[in-house]
Amino acid sequence: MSKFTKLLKNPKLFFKDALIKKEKIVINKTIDSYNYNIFYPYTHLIHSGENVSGLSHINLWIPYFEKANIQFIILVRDYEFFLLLKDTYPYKTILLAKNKKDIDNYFKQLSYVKACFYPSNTGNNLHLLQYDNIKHIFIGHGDSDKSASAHKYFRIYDENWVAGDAHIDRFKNASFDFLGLKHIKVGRPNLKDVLTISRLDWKKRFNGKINLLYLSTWEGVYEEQNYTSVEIMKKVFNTIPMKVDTISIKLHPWIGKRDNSLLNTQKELETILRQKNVEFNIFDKNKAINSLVKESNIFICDISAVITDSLAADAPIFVYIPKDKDIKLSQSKMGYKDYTYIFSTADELLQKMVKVLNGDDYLKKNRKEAMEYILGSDETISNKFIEKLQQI
Amino acid sequence: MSNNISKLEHDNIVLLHLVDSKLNKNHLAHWIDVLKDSSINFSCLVRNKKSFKELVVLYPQYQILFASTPLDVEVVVNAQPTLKVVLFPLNASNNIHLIRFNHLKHIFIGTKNSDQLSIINRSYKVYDEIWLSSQFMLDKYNEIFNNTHLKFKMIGKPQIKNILNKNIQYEDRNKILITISKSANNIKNYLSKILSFSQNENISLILEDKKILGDLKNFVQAYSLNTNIVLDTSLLDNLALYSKYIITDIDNISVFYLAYNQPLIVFVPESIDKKSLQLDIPKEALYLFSTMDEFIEIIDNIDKDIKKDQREYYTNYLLGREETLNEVIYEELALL
Repeated sequence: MSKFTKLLKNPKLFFKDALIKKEKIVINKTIDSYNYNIFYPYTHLIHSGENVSGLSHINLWIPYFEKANIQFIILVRDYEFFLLLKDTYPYKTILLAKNKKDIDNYFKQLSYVKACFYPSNTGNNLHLLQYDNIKHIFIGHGDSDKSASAHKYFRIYDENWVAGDAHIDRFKNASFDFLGLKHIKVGRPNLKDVLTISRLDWKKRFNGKINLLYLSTWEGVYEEQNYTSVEIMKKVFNTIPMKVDTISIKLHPWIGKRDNSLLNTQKELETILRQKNVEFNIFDKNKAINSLVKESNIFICDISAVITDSLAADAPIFVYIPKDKDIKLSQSKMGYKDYTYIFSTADELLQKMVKVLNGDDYLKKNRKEAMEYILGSDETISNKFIEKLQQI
Repeated sequence: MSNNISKLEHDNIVLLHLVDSKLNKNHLAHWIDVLKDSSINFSCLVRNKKSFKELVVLYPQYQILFASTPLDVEVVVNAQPTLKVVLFPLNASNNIHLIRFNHLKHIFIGTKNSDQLSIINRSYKVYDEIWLSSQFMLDKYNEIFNNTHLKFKMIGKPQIKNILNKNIQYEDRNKILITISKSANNIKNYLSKILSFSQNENISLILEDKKILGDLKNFVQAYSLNTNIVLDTSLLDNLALYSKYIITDIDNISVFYLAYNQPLIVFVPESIDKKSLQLDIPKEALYLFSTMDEFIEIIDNIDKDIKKDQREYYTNYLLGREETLNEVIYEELALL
């Protein structure tokens, strides 16, 4: 049936097909821009090679690029992510460039750009890294002792902006040379608020109330990478010490992705906590961790960057370390056992929690040391990140 | 589809990473004999399904594996616990999936033409080592890199060792080889004159442009010229080695012509300024001509071969003749 016949015989179908075709064309777009003016002297560029999942990385840094009062641009490689950023940051300049050719076209125009910032390690970062006249800086999107945080690919950048000395030590202990990579300590600007609150002893915050925050990871792609504590936490919440006033939970958004039996975790936890008659909240995956950390003074975490986020609150952190797993961690001077209360069973956790809640917070001094070593608390408080942005 | 992991046989030490869907075949062909001759246990990881299917058919005797995603790559690495080294012919974006493994040594080895084609930039510092053919490449890298962890090793061009090693006696060099590229329209105007001028010689002519084949054949026949027209470019090595000299054009001349150790006579269209002309081989090692008079003058003096020393210098400087003949690559592979 020709288009004309279709229009005459079945106009509904004609317009439906036309719409689908139009959508397809739009989705295949490889280059686009928003609030972009080729005459503006953009000096800083944030590149995310991720899909929409990269939003949390961008969210982490945008407020501080804004505070630095510099002309910056966000460049992404995925059309849906581009649309999402347009909605999220309607006043920002956003570029889409799917292919290397598109990147090259933009760089013919972006003659003022002095530095590119990378919140994550993606293969397509390489398309920008080939420009030698620009400084390439990795800024990351959090910090953990997982082996992913110190590997050889980082050598591709000129600078690695890290929170504190811990990350630098992870590189030093990773047994490879990185002579051409400079590490710059900039603190964790997004934790400044939490660090300020943490000046008051954790027991005295919230009128003496105990607000517990549980932050889980997911079960991992392979069983040997399964570090999630959700199963044992069901038992823990059943016998949680009565001293706890509120419980907040944020489960990893991918929980149950490999192991279907974990898909009902949220409902199961809700049922348990309702029976315990305790005030609780289970937050959705988009809830910013910082806002939860600020409202809490006891933390239970799985191995991930959330431990570092929680550390800023200077309050006891309990970390699940499975006994039967060979966990590949980058080595720094301070391991989790030095500043967090590690546990591998429900009983061990409960025992340690009782001890701490009864006043024996025996890792307090170490925790303070870890805050400087891992978070760069001095750099955070003194706005080092913003200062470094302005110096470029 | 099988990724061939179940067929892994040896305690592999080396992994060759093939990432270009269109050029994997060339890249593998360039390195496979070197790896085979080194006797090191190796496997090849292909990142494109179509290319993988093609390569397993072409090279059934080798361990060729397939991985698409970063997780697939992790499976491939974990399945080879003895693996020590990854060799990268291309500086490609998905190399990241292997470079993140700290326990492996990552070595950039390039392709047949990467010396001339690749634009070196700071992103190469992601590797542990760069194995390069010659002093020319080392000079290029040194312009960009200083004070990095990168180690450079000169390995020559092991793929052309047999050509560099051939010592054909002068009396056995009884042919003239002419090679012309598709785009060299101007030389075609001269071709009849060159062929007529050299009518007493045994000429082989490698022709890429089949459009002029009919006319050329008629011309050769009509004037009873002793000219063998060859369409198969893979015969270049054999024909070149037994030639007294090679006539070619600026689009066809490549650094590999130096390996034949013959006078290289290159046609430059008159419209191009010879002074500003940039070629893969420096002009002082070449005989350039734009007119028949210049060509005749070169041929009249070709026995003196006044550019011989320069040619030999550049064979070493550009192709790493010494490292190639000393088989440095095999020493380096044995050390892994």
